[in-house]
Amino acid sequence: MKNSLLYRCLAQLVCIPALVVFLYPLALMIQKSFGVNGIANYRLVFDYYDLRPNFATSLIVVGGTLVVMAAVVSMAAYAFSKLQFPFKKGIYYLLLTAMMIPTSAVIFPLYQIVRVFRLNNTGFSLIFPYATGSCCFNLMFLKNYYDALPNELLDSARIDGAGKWKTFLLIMLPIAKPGLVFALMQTFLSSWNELQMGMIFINDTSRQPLSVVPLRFAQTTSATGFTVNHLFAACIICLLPIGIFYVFASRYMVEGLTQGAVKG
Amino acid sequence: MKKRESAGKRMETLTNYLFILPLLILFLTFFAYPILYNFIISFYDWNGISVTKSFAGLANYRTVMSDRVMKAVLKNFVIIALGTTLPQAFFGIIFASFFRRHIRFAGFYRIAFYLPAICTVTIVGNVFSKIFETNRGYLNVMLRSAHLDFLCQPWLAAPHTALLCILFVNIWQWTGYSMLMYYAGMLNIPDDLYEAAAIDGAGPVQQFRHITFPLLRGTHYTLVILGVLGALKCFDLPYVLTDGGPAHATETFSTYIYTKSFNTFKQGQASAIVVLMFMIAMAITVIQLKMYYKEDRDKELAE
Repeated sequence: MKNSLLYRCLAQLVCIPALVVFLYPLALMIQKSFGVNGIANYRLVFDYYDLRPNFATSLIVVGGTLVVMAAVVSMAAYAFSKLQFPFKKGIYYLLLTAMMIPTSAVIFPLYQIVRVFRLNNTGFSLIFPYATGSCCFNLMFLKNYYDALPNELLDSARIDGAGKWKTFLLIMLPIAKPGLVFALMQTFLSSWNELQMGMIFINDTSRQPLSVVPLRFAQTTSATGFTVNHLFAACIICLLPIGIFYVFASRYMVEGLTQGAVKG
Repeated sequence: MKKRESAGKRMETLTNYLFILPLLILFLTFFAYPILYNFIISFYDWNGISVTKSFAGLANYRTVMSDRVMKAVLKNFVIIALGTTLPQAFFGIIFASFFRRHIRFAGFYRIAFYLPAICTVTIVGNVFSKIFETNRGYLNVMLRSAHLDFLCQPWLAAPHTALLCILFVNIWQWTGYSMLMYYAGMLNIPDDLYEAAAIDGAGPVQQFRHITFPLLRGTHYTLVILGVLGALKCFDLPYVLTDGGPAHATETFSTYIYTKSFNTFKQGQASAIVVLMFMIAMAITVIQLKMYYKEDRDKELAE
């Protein structure tokens, strides 16, 4: 495809202002975080806040969510795509409705469960709710992915004497890997950044996930004597882990989406 | 012989169920049970803490229906659904089609435009509340230094501009997502279609109208559904930017339920709102399924 000069100029005329709008808030934050005292702003943030427990909570929550999600959804998506059992379609659509249910519709009852099991203020309270949401969200995507894989693979595996679980683990799962990687990345982003459950299930501020912590920065500026520069330095620190993740993950994002059929 | 065969068949069905059992258990515990719980609580007068609760019949629903704030919530739901989904899809498809035609710096733009989508919302909230702040906010300072004082607004402090700010930040954050989905959809459209169209003398605009846009039907549809449901779920941005205010101007279902449950302790009413919200979500789902089935049938007919 050759683009005309007019098209190329027009495209840049749209993209350059858009780039300014998209990056301005982030650039502003970085620039101001070094304002007045330079790197000392960051040092002051570390003096006031020990963010290591928060970081640990985030890691536990995201790690646990990814493990549970990957195991549960790849089995279910495979079953809905390639196996036969009664009420298959009905159960499938029932599970998909979970995608439509907002967090605020389930949060109070779940909070009660979490308290009964004394899981509040631990990362474990968040793993299963997050994993369930991501499973239902990724179920359709992964099922479509398996649908695109030919049934002949299954037949030849059966002729070779492989059982159902063996076929799933050794043949289907490896082929579906790019789709699973995409699902894992989306889950990483959404569970790392989740706010609502994180702040309610874990109300001990010293242990809240990193996504909730910045709420505290703005609320406590008068007590800590933080200026806007310190505030932004604190924000940058909280943004760093997910930013580093994005640098490595960005190339796989489009790949996972296009190799599997996104016909849904 | 026949009996053994049917027993084997039953065994097989059971093992097949084992594959979906974990997901089914998670679904029942973390979605079905809470919805049922809210449905029951919606008929009680309860503060969410004390051991006793009294049966209230439909009183909670009556209170909620006549609540003026609920009108704002419903209005905001419609405004947010339309006001974010359409602009995001519009800009998303424009950027994606530029990148599909490999304009210069396409790879860099793609990564940069998606960047807001990975940012933690509490951090986004901190930055934008400094930008939109009335007295020393960066936006008003900029406007004043450009001698455009008449454009200065108390952005987050006035009811109608506050909602506009929420819309703007939402569009800022999620346009990259629409862009990515459209871009992935466009990569699935084979190059030869465009080449054939180019030979027939179709320019970029005509190619977009007659090839790209119609072939992305699945993506349009997914994004609209996700956008409408996103508006229904909308909690984070209003919570961090305006806390539903000023004067409930940016109140959404989720922020209002949160206030009722955890601030004013009217759990019965909160549950009634949950039930209403759930019914809206299900109505959207039913419409979606209808369209799905229709598409399925269309495909079968076409084959």
